[in-house]
Amino acid sequence: MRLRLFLVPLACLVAAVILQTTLFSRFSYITPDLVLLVIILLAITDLPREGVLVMAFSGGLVVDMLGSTALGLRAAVFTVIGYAAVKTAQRVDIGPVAIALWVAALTLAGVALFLVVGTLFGQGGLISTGLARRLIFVPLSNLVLSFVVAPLMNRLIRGKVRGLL
Amino acid sequence: MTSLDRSDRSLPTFITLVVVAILLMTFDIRSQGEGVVSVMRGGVQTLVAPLQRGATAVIDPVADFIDGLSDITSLRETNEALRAELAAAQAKLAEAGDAMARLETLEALYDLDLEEIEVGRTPANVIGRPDQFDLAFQIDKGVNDGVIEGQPVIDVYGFVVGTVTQASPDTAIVVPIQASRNKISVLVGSQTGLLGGNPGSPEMTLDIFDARASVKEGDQVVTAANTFPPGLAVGEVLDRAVPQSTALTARVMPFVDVESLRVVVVLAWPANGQIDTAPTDEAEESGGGDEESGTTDSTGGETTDTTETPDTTTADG
Repeated sequence: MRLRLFLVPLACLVAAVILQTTLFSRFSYITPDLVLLVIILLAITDLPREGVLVMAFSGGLVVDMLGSTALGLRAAVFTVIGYAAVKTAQRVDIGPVAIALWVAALTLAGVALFLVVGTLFGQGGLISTGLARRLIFVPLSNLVLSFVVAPLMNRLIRGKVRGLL
Repeated sequence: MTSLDRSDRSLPTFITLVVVAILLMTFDIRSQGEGVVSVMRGGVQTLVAPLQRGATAVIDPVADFIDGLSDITSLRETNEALRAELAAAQAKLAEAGDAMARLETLEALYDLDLEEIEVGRTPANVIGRPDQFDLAFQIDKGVNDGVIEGQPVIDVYGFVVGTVTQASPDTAIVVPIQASRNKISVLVGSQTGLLGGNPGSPEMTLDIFDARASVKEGDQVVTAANTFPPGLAVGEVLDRAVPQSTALTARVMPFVDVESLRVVVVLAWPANGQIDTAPTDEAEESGGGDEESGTTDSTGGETTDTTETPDTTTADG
């Protein structure tokens, strides 16, 4: 059972990486950051807090390795957002709408942090075209998707948020 | 609710992971992606690529169908615009034909024999993009197919896309010119300049440091022989710019829309380091072969083989 508690999140993370890099990279307006979404939602499951952080770091590192930016950039950002998520998860223990808003806020924070840290580390090229559009649509897409992904993950990984199932 | 009975070691874990991430970032930047980092990236890409290929095979037809449905409304307008463009292009082609005929006459008259540079081509499918903020993308060809770091990449119409920055055995990462930290050497008319990206903007900036004349809207920007084969079309000047003293700065819009790329062509450049790429059935099956054939047809090159046929680079522009 304990093994399942780690294997299922890992499988979710891998699926998120694959879907993010193939499916969601094709659309202009449906632009979620699925890996970040999964990491945030792991905080509302029974996965230990340290596990969430390790998953966040690993997920970020894998996406880093598939891109052109410095290795560790997303790993650092995702870990920070993962930490913020585990520290605030109890406050959203009221239902799907609260979770969606929480996801959107953390995603926006993650995107902003990614751009700031990336720029500080000389990764200017990562600020691609349509920056303002992306700053709006990435959190918005994550917000919408959380209504589907959150109950799914809650069911898969013994969730602890009321009102999701 | 949260498992408060467990000892909370999240803060030390958090600090450790963030420090490790920052160290990794520093190491990667200092080593410029070489060495251990390169091996790690290659390993992960090799592991993930089969899953991405599988996902792409399933997703592409569905996404194409959805794209097709959403595009139906704009097809009529696009069709009309394309007809107008075609007419203008045909007029230009007629002018170019006349100029070519005169050039051939002059070459024959003065007994000139201009050497044609042959460049190997490897068509590749785009199989993944990391996220919404990174313009770099993965292709399904790697070292095993003759793709190595530093090789230029064009689209199926011959427009410049970018450069291969990382090559693993079966995949490679391409960074478009808009996102590259390196400027590329280009020609506008007879003037040589440097073209670089602008973060947050699809436009690029052209700098000519020994400008002798102004550039005007619509002037074509092509590559100068350096990291790219000469004569590849990059983009066009957006508005008129006049030299200030001897320097000139102009805005350039690249021809390629990086985000909509599905198939690209990797060039074995420099030509003297030409790689003998093996023909792959996979490229033909996945559509790359058709696209590539279309390219060589349209540029007047030979169309005997989709992957190996060397073609004259000057024809691409």
